[in-house]
Amino acid sequence: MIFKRQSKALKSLSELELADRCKNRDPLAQREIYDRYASTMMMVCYRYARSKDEAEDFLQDGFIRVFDYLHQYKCNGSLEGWVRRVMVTTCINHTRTRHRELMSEGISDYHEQVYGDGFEDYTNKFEIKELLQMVSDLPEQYKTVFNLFVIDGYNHNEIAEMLQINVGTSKSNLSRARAILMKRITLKENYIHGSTK
Amino acid sequence: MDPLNNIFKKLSHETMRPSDGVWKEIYANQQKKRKKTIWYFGTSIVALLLIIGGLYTYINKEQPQAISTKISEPKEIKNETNTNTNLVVSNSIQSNEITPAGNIFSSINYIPNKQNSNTNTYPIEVLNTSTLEKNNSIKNIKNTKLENVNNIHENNSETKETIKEVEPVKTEQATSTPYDSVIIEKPIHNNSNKPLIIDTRKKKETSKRKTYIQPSLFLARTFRTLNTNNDSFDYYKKLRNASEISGNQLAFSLSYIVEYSKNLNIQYGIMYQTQKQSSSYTWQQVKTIVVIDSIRNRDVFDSATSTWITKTDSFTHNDKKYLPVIANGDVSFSYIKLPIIVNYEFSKKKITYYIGSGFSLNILTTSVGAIRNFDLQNEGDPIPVKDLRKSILGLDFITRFGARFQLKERFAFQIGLATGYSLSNAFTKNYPLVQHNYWYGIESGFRWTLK
Repeated sequence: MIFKRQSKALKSLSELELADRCKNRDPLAQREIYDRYASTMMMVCYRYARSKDEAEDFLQDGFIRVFDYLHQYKCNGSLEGWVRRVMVTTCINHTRTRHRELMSEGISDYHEQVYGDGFEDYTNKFEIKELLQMVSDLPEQYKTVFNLFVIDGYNHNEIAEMLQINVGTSKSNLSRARAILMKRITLKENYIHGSTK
Repeated sequence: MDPLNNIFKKLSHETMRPSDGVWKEIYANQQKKRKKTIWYFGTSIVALLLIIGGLYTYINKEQPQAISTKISEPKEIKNETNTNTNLVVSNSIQSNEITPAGNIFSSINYIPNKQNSNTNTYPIEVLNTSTLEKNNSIKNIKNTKLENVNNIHENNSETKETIKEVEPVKTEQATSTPYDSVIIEKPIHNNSNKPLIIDTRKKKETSKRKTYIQPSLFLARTFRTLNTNNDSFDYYKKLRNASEISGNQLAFSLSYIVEYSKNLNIQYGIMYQTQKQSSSYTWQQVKTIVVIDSIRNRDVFDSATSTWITKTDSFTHNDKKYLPVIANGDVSFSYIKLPIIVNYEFSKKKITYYIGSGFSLNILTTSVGAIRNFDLQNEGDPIPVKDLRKSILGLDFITRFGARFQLKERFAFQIGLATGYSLSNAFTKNYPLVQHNYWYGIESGFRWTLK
């Protein structure tokens, strides 16, 4: 009963108040933070992981880091943004070792993508599940850079620093990821158009 | 924005529910850490207590312990069945003189009416409260040096000391009593005809530790750590940033030092410290500055902001426009400090080297500031700043080392380096910035030995 009442009170707390309580390792506040952000962060982790199980491992490790380093949260931005950054860093740390050796392409491969008319209208029809699957099917090194740049909003300098690669490699990986995705989208479009004819 | 990016950007807002096991794992991990913290905390306290206990024991062992002598009137001797004239039975011992079991030589008796006329000596009885078998006890006693007896009677050097061992005597009284006896002969001159009981139990005397008094001068450079929360806009909108640049401090201290052992002493002191630092403040909203107290100064300040301050560097936060104003000046503080320092010392010839560390409780007595210019433009008369939002109480951790030169028997000159770090925040609790003072400097002084 008391637990329920306290949980209810916690739900009304602002991010700052919740963070303050969490800094004192209050288990109820920790649970509340987990409840608020677990679903969003699970998706973040899933985009970097190879499977759902691996994503859950990343998520678990990420939240442990969040609770351990919450005292470093300076209330400058939103708590969610901070938690997301911690999650992304955790995922990168986990995946870095397994694809470091693959990220060695140079800037010479970089090229701008050209899109045809009505491309956006068409791709808007894709379901989230399909988009997720497309990203997930990308080679490991391209997937990470694509996730960081396109979805999580990091720039190439930050990505290069995080992945310990040079900026050129980051740009090249992004370009290749886009090319692959474009190819898959076009194939799908042809398949859909072909089947409707 | 790239249309492809736009499509995939949608993924950043998507959610996916993790399985229930994830939270259980996280919770278990946190619980483990909590227990670990408690364990570390408990262990630290126990270790600290052990160290303190060990130090206390060590210090107490170092104290000189004098042997007190006690002369009392024993009860009348009732030894009807005793066949050995030298034996005094336990009935002669008063109950309050019984020492705990295991102590040997709890008291010494001599029997005045059994004086040996040839040697002018008296037999002396050493009484023991050991719970061992009587015969064994006596053997133990016989093999024990009677140094205390010698010390007590060192004034009676006319007759040479003799110790006569006797065989254990079997008497009814003796077997029924917890005391063991041995007779020795010892020259004692006594005018009365009553037996003396000399209690040789060790008793603590009031400590006679060496103490010193030491006036010192201390000159140091003071710094503050960088603000660790200087962008906490949401908490405190008026004063955005305050930095106090390094400054000099001068202090005078008077210490009382108690020597607990040859190498270890504790220094208790009182110190008056004054320091002056440059300061720089940045305000967001110039009209609502709270630190300027008088109306005149507020007018001056308002006019300064309206006429002199360039508004090109204004910025927006949460859709509101703010104008930062940088005010430069200086601040002065004075403290009363109460340091307690444990020093370890070792001597080589006439020089004693010391190293010490401890804590100091600081009480802020005055804190005043003055703004000399705004955005580097002189305003004229300095504007006093009163409420600097500094903590009244603080705690410093201090380390020091140096050398002392013994100039005369009770007079020494000391010089060394000291450094300190403030464990507490320099600002008050409701202020969002976190800064810690740290300082290093040179200290020198004289030391007088009091006793």
